[in-house]
Amino acid sequence: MSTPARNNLPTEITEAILRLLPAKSLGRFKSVSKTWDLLISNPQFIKTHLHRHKTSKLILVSDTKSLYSLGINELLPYLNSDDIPATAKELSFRSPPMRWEEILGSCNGLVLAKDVNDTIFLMNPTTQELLNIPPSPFALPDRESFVMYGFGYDSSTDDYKVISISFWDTDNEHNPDCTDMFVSVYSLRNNSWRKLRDSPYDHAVGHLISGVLINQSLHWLTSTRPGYSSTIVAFSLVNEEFNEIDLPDSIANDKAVFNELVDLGGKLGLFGTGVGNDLWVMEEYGVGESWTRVCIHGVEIDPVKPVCLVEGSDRDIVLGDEDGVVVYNIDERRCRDVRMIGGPSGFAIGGMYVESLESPKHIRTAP
Amino acid sequence: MSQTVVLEQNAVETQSITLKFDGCSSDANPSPIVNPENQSITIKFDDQASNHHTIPVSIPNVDSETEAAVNEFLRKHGSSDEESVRTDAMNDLWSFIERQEIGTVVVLVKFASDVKNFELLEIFCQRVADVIAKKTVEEVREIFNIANDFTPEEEQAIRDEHRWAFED
Repeated sequence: MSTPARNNLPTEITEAILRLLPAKSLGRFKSVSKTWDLLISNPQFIKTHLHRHKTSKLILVSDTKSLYSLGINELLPYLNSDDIPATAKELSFRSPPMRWEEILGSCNGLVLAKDVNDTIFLMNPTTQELLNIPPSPFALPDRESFVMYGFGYDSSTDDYKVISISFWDTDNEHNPDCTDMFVSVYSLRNNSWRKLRDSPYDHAVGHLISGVLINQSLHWLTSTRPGYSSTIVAFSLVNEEFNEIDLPDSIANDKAVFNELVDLGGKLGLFGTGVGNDLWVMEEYGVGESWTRVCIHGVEIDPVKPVCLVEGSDRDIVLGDEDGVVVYNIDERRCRDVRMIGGPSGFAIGGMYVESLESPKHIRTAP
Repeated sequence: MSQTVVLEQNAVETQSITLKFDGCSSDANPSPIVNPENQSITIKFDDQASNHHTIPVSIPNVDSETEAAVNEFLRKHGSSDEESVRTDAMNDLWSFIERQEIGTVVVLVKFASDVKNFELLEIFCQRVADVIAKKTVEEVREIFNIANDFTPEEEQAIRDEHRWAFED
């Protein structure tokens, strides 16, 4: 073409089109022109893009310590058929390959994970960016303590934070008189840890598990002290304080702490051996009366655990365990297997993430 | 007939809320009704500012068949408040533009932006996005008539940094 080389569309329109594209296309189109590179790299654009174009993936940790992604969006067209295929893809970051132990959290396309040496990393599985998170200077000795993490985004400071809650392994006589629950927070922007006030709750009861992120707060099941009644605590990433969330009335007892929490399409979910094959969903955040019971048929909750909703359908729940992934439809009360194409034979489900262009490196070095 | 637009607060850093559809601003000056619960804003456009034309519009740089299809959409979509009629109109227009060359759709995007018709803009932008998603960088430059202002070294550096986007 010999026409003058000019972008004819207004910037806002170009942006509107770009916002509809998958992350991979955007990664390529950064090299279209300097204008497009600036548009696509803009932190505000990245945020609006990830909310507009939601492509969700499950993240799996294989028995061989590798990471895999499993496309959940792909499931949507197959939900009415008997065969639900999903493609698994290995996630690689470095050579020689990393060896992964556990996924600790996920937010806006960023995933927090721990390798086999207990080193924490922040990654973007889509862009293969990997950042080492320095250990907390407040950490207790490894073998004498326990630590739980939580990860999320604080919109008030446009920052990503990692929370750690640690305590002595008093059962094994490590500092047995100290039952303090130490809390510290890592800021990605500042690349540093800060010690916060101790948590008044007993996080040593119940599961050693990462906080569940809902509405910029991290949630755990804990026991109050003294009294030891179970409660859900919500740690706000914004004001860095703990609040309590009501449990469903019918299960509010001192055993509720042994259940588990999950993020179901932005709503807090609760499940576990204490509540059998029921899944409780908090329809309205913070409103105790809005807890709704969903009965799951055809699969045993725990070990098969709810992981997330199928993107695009709030009537289909994805559940899984080390043997496989299934989809449960609430209306049909039917559970169907997901046929994994590729992928590891043995794995643990680490959670889910959305595809995004969010870059931990750029956030950490931002002025 | 009035058109209602609902906006949600996406910009968390700024306190101001601009009347936009995916970035396209409107000059219309209606009074917004803010819902404090979910931060959404409802604006009703009156007939004068309405984007529903009953008189056929003229669209530069497209053939008569395309102009007719767009006008048919505007007529049908604007003729009724019923969900099913509007959805039919959208589906018809969507099927039509799926058969058109990408160049035509880009012209239509520009047109919809110029006349500030948000429904047309949404359809045409989505179609363009669907088509260019799998295209190469060179093809995209040609479609949008964009000059490559990178030096070969600069371009290679960006590609190296984003190897993940060129895989598969």
